[in-house]
Amino acid sequence: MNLLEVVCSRPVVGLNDKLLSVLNILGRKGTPYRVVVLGEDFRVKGVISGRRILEVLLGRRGEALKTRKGLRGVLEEPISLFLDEARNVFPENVTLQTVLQYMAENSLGYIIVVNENHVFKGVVDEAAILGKLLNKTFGIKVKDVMSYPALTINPEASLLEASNLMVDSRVRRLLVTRDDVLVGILTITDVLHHVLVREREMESELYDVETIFKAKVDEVMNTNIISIYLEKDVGEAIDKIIGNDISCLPVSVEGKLSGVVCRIDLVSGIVKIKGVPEVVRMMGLEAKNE
Amino acid sequence: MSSVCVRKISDYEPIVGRDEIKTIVSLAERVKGAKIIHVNSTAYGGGVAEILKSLIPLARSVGLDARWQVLQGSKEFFFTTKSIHNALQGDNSIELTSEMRDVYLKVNELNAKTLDLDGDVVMIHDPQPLPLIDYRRDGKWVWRCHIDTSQPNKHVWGFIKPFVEKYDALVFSREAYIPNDIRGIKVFVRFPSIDPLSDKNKPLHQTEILKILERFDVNPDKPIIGQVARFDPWKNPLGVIDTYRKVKEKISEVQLVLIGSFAHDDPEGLEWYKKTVRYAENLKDVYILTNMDGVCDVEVNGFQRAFTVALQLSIREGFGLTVSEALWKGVPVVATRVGGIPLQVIDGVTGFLINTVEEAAEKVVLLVKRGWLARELGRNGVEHVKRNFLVTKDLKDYLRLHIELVGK
Repeated sequence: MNLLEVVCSRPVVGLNDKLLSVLNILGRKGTPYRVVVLGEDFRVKGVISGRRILEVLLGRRGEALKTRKGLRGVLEEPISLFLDEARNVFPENVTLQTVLQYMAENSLGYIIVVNENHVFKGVVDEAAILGKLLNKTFGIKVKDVMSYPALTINPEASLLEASNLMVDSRVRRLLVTRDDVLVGILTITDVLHHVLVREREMESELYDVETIFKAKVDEVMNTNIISIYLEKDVGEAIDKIIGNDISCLPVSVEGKLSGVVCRIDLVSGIVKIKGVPEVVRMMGLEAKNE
Repeated sequence: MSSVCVRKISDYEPIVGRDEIKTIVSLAERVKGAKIIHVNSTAYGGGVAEILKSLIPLARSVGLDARWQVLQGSKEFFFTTKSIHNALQGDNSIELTSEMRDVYLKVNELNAKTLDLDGDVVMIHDPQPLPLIDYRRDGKWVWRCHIDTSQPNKHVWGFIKPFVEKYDALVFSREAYIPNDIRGIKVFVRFPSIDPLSDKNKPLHQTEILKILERFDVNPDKPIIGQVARFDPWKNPLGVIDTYRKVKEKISEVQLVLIGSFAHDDPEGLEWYKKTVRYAENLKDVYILTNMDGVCDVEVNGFQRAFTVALQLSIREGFGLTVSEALWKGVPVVATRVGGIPLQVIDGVTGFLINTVEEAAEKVVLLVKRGWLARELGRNGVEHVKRNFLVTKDLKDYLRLHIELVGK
């Protein structure tokens, strides 16, 4: 089977582009959580994620450079100083089965695909896979694949506290609860978006991150909550996630929050439970299987 | 300082390309002249020494003042640190007595007086030298943890954690290994990698390989399966022998080569070596070899290149870099699904991932009987390692870490 059937194009940046350009991409709502970094020859040089940018904004990355140049100076530095080496690079001639197995085995959200000359061809990520699994019933309940307990935060907490919690816990989102009732979701993308918007409003030359991070979580969180019941089929979760272009769903039982189901939970869970051949069949790509 | 062979970054250009070398040189400019001190507990044996043997000369060749210091300790000290190692990897039966804690701290205190710890960056590898942080004078200190600390023994972690929290940054081999109660410290995830030009991985002529096999009476005309790993319960040498027994029932001419080294920081090594030898006592065509038999890096290289199939049947792994070493030599690997192994062994592409001895034997038989399949998986393995696990990537990661901490 040709892997290219699920390879999708995603935003890319150049190795010598400024870090600021990544903030401008990842702070836009509806964009992926990470971008691939390419050299001038279009070969893959690495990956940079929203978390890395948030860490820089919080002063938890680029410490020495920040001391010398200030945050603005750090954001003017090339991406090459901050990227993560790409370690999930596959040639375009591997099969979809292989990639699905690898992503599920290692709980990876994406792999990068290159041609025989190591030139970038695209990305296979959870969204691309789930997008091929719409309107299906799997016979697997949400509770069988969800993550729990979900990390929560109070709406009155500061954005600084929430951001540090996400960085320390290595998560991309927090569920916002008041008296155990879910009132919103805060993602790293929401935080980066807030930084961008506030900077534009203030027309500030220097990034006044401290002021920006004083905002309360409920000023930034997304209150349009789309959740799912834990006894529901994972097919419904996929339809909701892809249909609304969101990365996760809070999972509830009798009105109480019991966990969260994310895109990678769905891909890993379905592959592990149904097996790769069955998932490929459900994706409607088995006819071309070699 | 331990002796290291001299390789230059430009030596790697034919393998990774000019562009990659240019990137490394440009990153290194930002930290040129920085004094980087690595401290670990053995100059030979195990993955950390392997990594440092390559990294230190490479870092020096791009203008860093990189140095390697080795912690000295008593038998009691290394017994204690091995217990700590096992506990951090999840052995909940271990308890540290007050004597063990005392020897651990005392040896570190004594080493602090003799080691050069005045670096711009001091990289402490694994738990053995961890308490040296209490003797920090200056510079940025980084703890590089090479083991799986995702589910540590709580009592031992409780003793270790206060030291960990004093570091400026922590580096783990996988995201899943980061203990979930670490807060407020910079945490990096960095995969280890192999050096394609080291004695252990450099290309060898067929005649050199034959000579090595001859020296140890291994028949080059019969299939060879083997595992390269310390003699250690986590590496499961007895499971390898069980697998061999089952393979031998189907393929009578198969041979087994088990290679391990006695690192001076591993007091369990000799005991487990003896246990392994006893376990294989009545089996034919089994070769259990160590550095004491003269099996050093070049010999390991030769044996790995002669393997029909490599095994890595570990119960727990930090990353399992010997898997990439075998793959780099075009040898398919049959391995367990632990640590970083599933990142290296792509099931059905570079080898096979298995759950039981029976499955391992079945896959080994498949590969021994079907040479074309073994060759295809072997070719895929070389490419996979080349794309993802070569030392030049590791060097870039280290340079970025240094830039983060002391860069210009």
